[in-house]
Amino acid sequence: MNIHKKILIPLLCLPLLSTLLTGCWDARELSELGITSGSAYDWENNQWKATYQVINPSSGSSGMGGSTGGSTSSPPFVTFTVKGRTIMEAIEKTNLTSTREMFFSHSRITVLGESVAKHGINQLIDMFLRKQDARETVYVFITKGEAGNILDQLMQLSKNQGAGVQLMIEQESRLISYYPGVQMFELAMALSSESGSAVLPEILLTGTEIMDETTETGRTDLKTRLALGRLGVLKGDQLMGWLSQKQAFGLSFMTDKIKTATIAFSSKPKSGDKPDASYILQKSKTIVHPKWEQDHYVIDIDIKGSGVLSEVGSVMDLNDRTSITEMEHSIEQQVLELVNNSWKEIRTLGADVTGFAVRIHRSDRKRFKQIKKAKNWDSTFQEIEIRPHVSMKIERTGLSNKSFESVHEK
Amino acid sequence: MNGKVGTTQAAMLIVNTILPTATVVLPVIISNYAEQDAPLAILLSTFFGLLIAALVGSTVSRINGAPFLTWVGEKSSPVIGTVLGLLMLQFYLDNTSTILREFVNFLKDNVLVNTPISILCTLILLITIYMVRQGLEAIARVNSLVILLFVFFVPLYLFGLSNEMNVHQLLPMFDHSLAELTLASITPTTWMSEVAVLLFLAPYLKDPKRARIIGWSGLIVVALIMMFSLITTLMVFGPDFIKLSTYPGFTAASIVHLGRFIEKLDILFISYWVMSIYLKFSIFLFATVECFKQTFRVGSSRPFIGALGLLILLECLYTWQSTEKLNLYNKEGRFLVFFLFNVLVPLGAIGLDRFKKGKPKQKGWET
Repeated sequence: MNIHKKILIPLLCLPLLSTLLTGCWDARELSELGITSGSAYDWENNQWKATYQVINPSSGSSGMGGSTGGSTSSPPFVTFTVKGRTIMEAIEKTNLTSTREMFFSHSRITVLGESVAKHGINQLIDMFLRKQDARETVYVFITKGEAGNILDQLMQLSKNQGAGVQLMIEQESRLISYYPGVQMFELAMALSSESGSAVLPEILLTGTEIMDETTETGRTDLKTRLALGRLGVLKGDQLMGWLSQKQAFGLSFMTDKIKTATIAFSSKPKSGDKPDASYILQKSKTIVHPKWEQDHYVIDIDIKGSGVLSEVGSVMDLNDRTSITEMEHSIEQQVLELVNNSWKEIRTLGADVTGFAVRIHRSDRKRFKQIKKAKNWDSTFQEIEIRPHVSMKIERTGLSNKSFESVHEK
Repeated sequence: MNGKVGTTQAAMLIVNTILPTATVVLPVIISNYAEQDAPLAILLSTFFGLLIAALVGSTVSRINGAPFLTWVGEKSSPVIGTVLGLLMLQFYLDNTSTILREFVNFLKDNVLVNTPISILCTLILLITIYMVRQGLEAIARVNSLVILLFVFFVPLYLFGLSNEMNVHQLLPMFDHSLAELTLASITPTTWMSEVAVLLFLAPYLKDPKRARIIGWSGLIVVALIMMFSLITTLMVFGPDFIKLSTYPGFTAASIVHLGRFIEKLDILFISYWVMSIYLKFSIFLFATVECFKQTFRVGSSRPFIGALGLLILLECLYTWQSTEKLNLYNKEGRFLVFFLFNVLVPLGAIGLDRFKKGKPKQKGWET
């Protein structure tokens, strides 16, 4: 009896072991996955047109960096373009053409065509925040033409184009600070905030021809490259217009997004406005302080920065404090001009990308609640007056005490 | 197998009795009412929670480690004890099945999208039944180890998000009325009232007289961790975005990154959360079994654990099928039920004890 019991119990328990395989329902083989590194969306004939960039595992090194091995002739990635009434319908249609199931967890970038940006992007953001394998940390870009074309372009120094573009925007926001990289969750945050506006960097092709063959990347100077351009301005979920790089730079000062930047300025403003010197801004801090004056808001914008002189094109003795003060003043004027130009354009567009609504809510919540209740933020925003105050310090002048131009003066 | 549990271990048990589902369910509910004032709502609910803990602690001290329902039966009548036991059994069965449902819902949403819920529930239940069969002491030991892992996870979370946090997102403070804050604090108070599970853990406490300290210290740790989680999430996402996300804490974890080489750490935090919720589920299953044991006065509860587990499984699968229904219950229904069983029952027990003892002698009036 005991022996029977001893055999019977393990036999009964044996099927229970199958429960340990619960994870297998969700098991996916790496060889069956199409790992997307980028996606692009356009709106065409009342349909979503989605393009996916899928990493080609059989591609080896082909002069574009990366590891060796594999076929050198096959491209580092392939793209699929599909259409659907909804985004998910389009995504699922890739299964009609691809041997691999799309896997989005490693996506780096998403490009929105101007058509999508004009149609509205709420549905797209919703999909990114809702879908389990979608990544809310993807960098989002906007492009003037068709977004799908951007993903076809090969890059020379990076095999994985999506990762390459990510590096470009990170490098841009770290070194020149024209605009910050915008990740999907930041876009959603900006659009859901009291300001209800957001910005997106533009990505563009510098030429007309798309370099989508691996042989074409063998050239030293590509006819067409990927480049970062202007800054798209969105209000609600629609594109309102564009800020030029200079205007975007001014916005970066207003919103305290400057990490490092180079400012070209005139070293002797009295002699002329032509920039002949460069200043590397290494530290920058912006404090925005809104206050109500009579019938409108006045925003005090205090910008303080310090950095090093990196280029001088005029006769100058850098041991002379007066010269330094004069140059600091010239840099301050440059920054003031950037900020004022930027504000002028932002006000024309009527989109609060400066985040003033949020600032006002924080410092003057009672009045802001009234404005919100009366739904007249747009008119309040138009009446805002900004008062930028800039203070720039040249902390060091580099490895030379006098400008090289002084040599010729002798 | 059922050894006694020390005061610190018991306080840690209270932490995991409340925290795992609280971190998942509460942030959305609180921030929908209180937005950036959410930390104030936590403070308010902690205050109420500490009052409930004092109430439960006093009850446990009075019964001095005796089985609660047996004590009620002895103090009143066996019929009252049994009726209360049946009602409390129903309460604990409901509560444990909702915990199981929240557990599987989270797994289905985030990790195991294609695995059938019935399989997930069965597996979780089998593991938890095994845990409960090992006794409270074993659960408490594992629980202490899991809590100690906070030492690793909290700094990782904090450093990984340090670049994304903006303290100004917490402004303006005091932007919401007291009514809104009270509404926001009702559901967290409900969660805090789960400290009443001590009524059924009392026979296994080394020092039941210190039940109040156990409850208080457990709740204070819960409040601190909840504050930490809410404040960091608010500083990262701000008050508007947080309302959009079903699991804001884990969404924040998904953007944690250390340089470019450690990214997308949500799965690590989810794994840790899974460990904690296993413990929560086991504590509640243990309390359910204990309630059954005391109600029906059975010598050993071991043969009944499986049967109770089956009931919980069926309730989880068929009563809480709809997520909207569970969300509505969490938001609106839970408060009433929890107030009834976690506040009024211990209050009634204290009243009963006082009534039986008669009026205490009035000191200071005698000459």
